[in-house]
Amino acid sequence: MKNIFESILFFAFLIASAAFTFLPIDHYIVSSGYTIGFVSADPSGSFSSMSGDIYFDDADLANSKFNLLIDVSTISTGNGMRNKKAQTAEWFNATTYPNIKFKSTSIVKSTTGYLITGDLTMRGITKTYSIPAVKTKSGNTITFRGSFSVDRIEFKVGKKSTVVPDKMVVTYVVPATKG
Amino acid sequence: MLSKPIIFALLLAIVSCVLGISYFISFKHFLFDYITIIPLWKLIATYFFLSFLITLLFKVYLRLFAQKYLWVFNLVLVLISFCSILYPIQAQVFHPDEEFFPVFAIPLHFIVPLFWLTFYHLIIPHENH
Repeated sequence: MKNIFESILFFAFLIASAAFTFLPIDHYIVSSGYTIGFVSADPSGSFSSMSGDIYFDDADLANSKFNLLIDVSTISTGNGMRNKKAQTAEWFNATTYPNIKFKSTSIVKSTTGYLITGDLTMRGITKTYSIPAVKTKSGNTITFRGSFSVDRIEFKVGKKSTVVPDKMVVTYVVPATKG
Repeated sequence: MLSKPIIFALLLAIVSCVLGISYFISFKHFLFDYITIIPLWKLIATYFFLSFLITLLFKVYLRLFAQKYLWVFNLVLVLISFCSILYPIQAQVFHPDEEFFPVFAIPLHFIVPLFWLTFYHLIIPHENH
C-alpha cells in the first residue's frame, strides 16, 4: 500500500513537472506587419526592418521585457539620396552603429494602456525613454502601438539645423507572435 | 542509502536547481539577462522533470539489468546531454545579445547529469552494493 502511494506520488511529480516544462511561456517574437515611422516638418519616413523579442505577461509586468532592434540601413525617406545621407557618419553612422536598440527596464499600466520605460540606443548613445503603448491581442499575436517624440540632437544624429527639426515623432506598430 | 526513488529524485532536483539558479542570477548580474527566453520557473520545472525522468529510467534499467554495466546507462546519459547542446547552438533567440545565448545555455544542460553522476550510487540498493 505504501509502495503504491509512493509510486503515485513519484508519477505525480513527474507529470506535473513535465506539464510545466512543456508549457509555452509568454514569449513573443516580433512578426511581420510592423511599422516604425518618423514624422517631422522635413523629413519623414520609416524603417522597414526590425526584429526582437518580447516577454509579456499582464499579471507579471515586473518581469516583462522588450528587446527590439531596428536596422538603420533600411531607412526610407522617399528620397534615395537622402536615405544614403542618413547612413553617413554625420547622421546615423550605420557602418559603426548598424542598429537602433530598445531594451525595456520597467513596464507599468497607464490610463490608456502601458508605459514602457527603457534604454534607447542610437549611434552608441543610450538615453532613457518612456514610451506609451496600447496593446491588442488576437489569438497568439499581441500588437503594441503608440507614438512618442525623440530628440535627435540627444543622440548626435545630425547637427542642429533650420531645415531638419530636432524632434521627430516616432509612430510604431509592433505585432509579436508567441514563439 | 536513499532507496526511495522519490527522495532521491527530489534531492537531485533541489541541488540542481540551487546551482542552476545561482548560475542564472550570476550570469544576469555580470553578463546578460536571458530571462525573456528562459524564465526561472521554466528552469526549475525542467530540472525537476529531468531528475524524476532519469531516476525513473534508472529504476527501469536496474529492474531489467540489475547492476550490470551501469556505465552503459551513464554513458548514454552523458552522450544525450552532450548532443542536447546542439539545441542552444542552433537556436534563433531574437535577443539583442543572441550571440552569447549558447554560452549561457550550454552549462545549464550539464547540471542535472553532473549531479546524477555524483549521487547515483545513493539509489543503488544497499544490499547489492
